[in-house]
Amino acid sequence: MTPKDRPLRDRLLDLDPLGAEQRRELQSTLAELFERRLSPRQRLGLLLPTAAGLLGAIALTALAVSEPPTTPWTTRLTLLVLALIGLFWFLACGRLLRRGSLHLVRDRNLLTSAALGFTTLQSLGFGALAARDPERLAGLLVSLLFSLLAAVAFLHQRGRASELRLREELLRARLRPAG
Amino acid sequence: MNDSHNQRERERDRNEWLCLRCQRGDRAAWNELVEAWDRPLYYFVRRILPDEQEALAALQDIWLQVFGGLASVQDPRRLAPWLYTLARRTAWRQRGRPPAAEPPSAELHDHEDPSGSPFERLDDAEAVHWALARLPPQQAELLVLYFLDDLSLAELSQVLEIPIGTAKSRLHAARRTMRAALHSEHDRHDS
Repeated sequence: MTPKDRPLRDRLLDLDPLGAEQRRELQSTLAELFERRLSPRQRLGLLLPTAAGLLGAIALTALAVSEPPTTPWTTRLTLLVLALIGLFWFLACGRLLRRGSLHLVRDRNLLTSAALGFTTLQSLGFGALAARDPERLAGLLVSLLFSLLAAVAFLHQRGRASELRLREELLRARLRPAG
Repeated sequence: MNDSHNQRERERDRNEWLCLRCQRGDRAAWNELVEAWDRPLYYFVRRILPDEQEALAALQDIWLQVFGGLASVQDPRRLAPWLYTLARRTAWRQRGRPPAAEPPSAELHDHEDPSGSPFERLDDAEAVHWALARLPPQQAELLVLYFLDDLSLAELSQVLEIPIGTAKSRLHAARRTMRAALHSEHDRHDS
């Protein structure tokens, strides 16, 4: 392809180029925006909930298992639920530490999933309490409201992701034939 | 004509694809987007901000805004006008408010295209680049959008934030001014 055959756009851009060094610098700065590396301070900050989550999960599970047989099942269940929450923090923060960076979009997905999980557990807990004591009904209703909001956010996020994936696949198919 | 239409459609498909992948959190797509658009945006911004350092600062600012706003782009097919709108607003903010539409300079007006032959020199990148530098920034920015991305009138009006009819008449005037600039340069060379 001779210079004249190249599109006018490319030839114009060549006449006022962005310097190679400046371009590299800009691209590297922008690449970091998408996935932010964790600073040593942030790593330290994440280490605490990771360790606390793991220790809490182990201690609470041990407690739930070793409680005397006379312990009500609701107490045992509450301990196990708290252990699950500890396990979540251990896994979530441990994953970030292992990856060494924050990924804004993927971590937002994790957050909405966690919000739905926690509010559902909370509603179950309040449900169990309200079953024994009708005065706790107000707590259950508030908890259900939070669950509903979390479910809407979760579904919105998932729906949007599915829609994007579908459109992306269609476009990929359309772009493929011409290479 | 068909080739250029297909090329444009393909470019839009590619932009849409990149935008969707970015919205889904694909880091490679973000890098591709930056790679594909940093030069056109820089070229566009330089027509408004001739100072290189100012243009570079504006470019960085534009990309930060793109990063913040990309997730909310409702129609990824219109990525190009969206990017140019951000770029234009940022560049003009840095430069100061866009002046009210200025009439082209008298010197350029005096050289209407005598042959009526449309744009035979407009395929000459160096001539176009030279002429763009001599046009008022308001006309230069419009023609850059026209030459770089062949934006439709509706898209031009979106980027420039003016009615379609105004975009049409401004484009016509800008092309005439550019032709006149090219002719006057040509005449100077001949004499």
